[in-house]
Amino acid sequence: MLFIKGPVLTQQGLREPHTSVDVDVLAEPATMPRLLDALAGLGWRVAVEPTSALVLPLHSTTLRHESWACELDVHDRFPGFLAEPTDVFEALWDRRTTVEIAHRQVPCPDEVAHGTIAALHWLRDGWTSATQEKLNYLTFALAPHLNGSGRADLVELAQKTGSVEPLRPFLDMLGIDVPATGHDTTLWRIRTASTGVKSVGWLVELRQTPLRRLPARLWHALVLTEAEIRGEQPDTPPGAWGLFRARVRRLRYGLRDLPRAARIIWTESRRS
Amino acid sequence: MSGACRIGPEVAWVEDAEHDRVAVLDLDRLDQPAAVLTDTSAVIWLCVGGSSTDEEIVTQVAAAYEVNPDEIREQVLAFLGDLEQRDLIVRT
Repeated sequence: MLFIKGPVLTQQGLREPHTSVDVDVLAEPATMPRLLDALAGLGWRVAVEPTSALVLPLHSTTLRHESWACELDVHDRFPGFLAEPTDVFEALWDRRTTVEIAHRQVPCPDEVAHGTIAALHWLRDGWTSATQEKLNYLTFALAPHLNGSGRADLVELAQKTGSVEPLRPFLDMLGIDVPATGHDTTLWRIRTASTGVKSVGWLVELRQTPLRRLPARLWHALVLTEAEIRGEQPDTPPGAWGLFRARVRRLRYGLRDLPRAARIIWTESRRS
Repeated sequence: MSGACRIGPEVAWVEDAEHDRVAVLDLDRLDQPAAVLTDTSAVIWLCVGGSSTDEEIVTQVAAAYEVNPDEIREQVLAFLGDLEQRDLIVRT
């Protein structure tokens, strides 16, 4: 298991200090059920069972514990690494190191590998001035690690993990030119172009849903679960009436976004 | 109690200097919540540091509060005993 993002990234000097609200770990995919069972035994429970549609596959399980103020985000994959999750984990595991957190040595990816994770994390929501600022900081901080074999290591890692295209803006900033690998980047491009457009996930999923399952899934798209609705809209008053109004509000926003969502999917699918 | 004491090998801890508190977690007992030490108890914990004798810790705590070591020795030693019982510190 590797600890990623948050204080580890700060400790490695790859991002400015900030207060984290969760702890992120990347687990070897095959060990996920065992790890989640062990954590459940210690009182860590799934925060809200996710049933909503997503553009990219669900990448983590969010856990909460009644005695802890922060959440635990257990990843078995990381968005933007388009290779098989097991291969991605292996590639990152090969580049593991440790940093000291809470006076303990904590396993984590080394600076080059962690730099790619951070870049993908910030690029996932599209390009903004905040993205630019964080990537500027990251490229500056990574510079000492990209001497000698560092640049070749970064290229090799990007190729192995299928993240060349998702990392392209970051690689451009580093002045690294790498030929594209054969991974399909359509969903990644849809995801990065559609931050805040929640109906995109449903459109992507419903397009691929078999006809016999379509009515049930469409109904679920309209109503969602109470836990997810209340998670999305924490101010929802208790009771059926409050829930009904929250559902209507969600539908209104979803329908308003629908033309934009369809346009993004159409544009990005045509580019593939 | 005798010899030097030090923080247990399976203990993780963080200091919140802004609020004078320390959170301590025994990694061998992950089913137990972290202990949050505040005020004097946090100061004593920080004085344990790498490896210190009881008397060194008493002296450091007394200096931090500008009091005579004799005035606080009993309470400090009692607290160290409590930490040792919880395996948060060990004797060497």
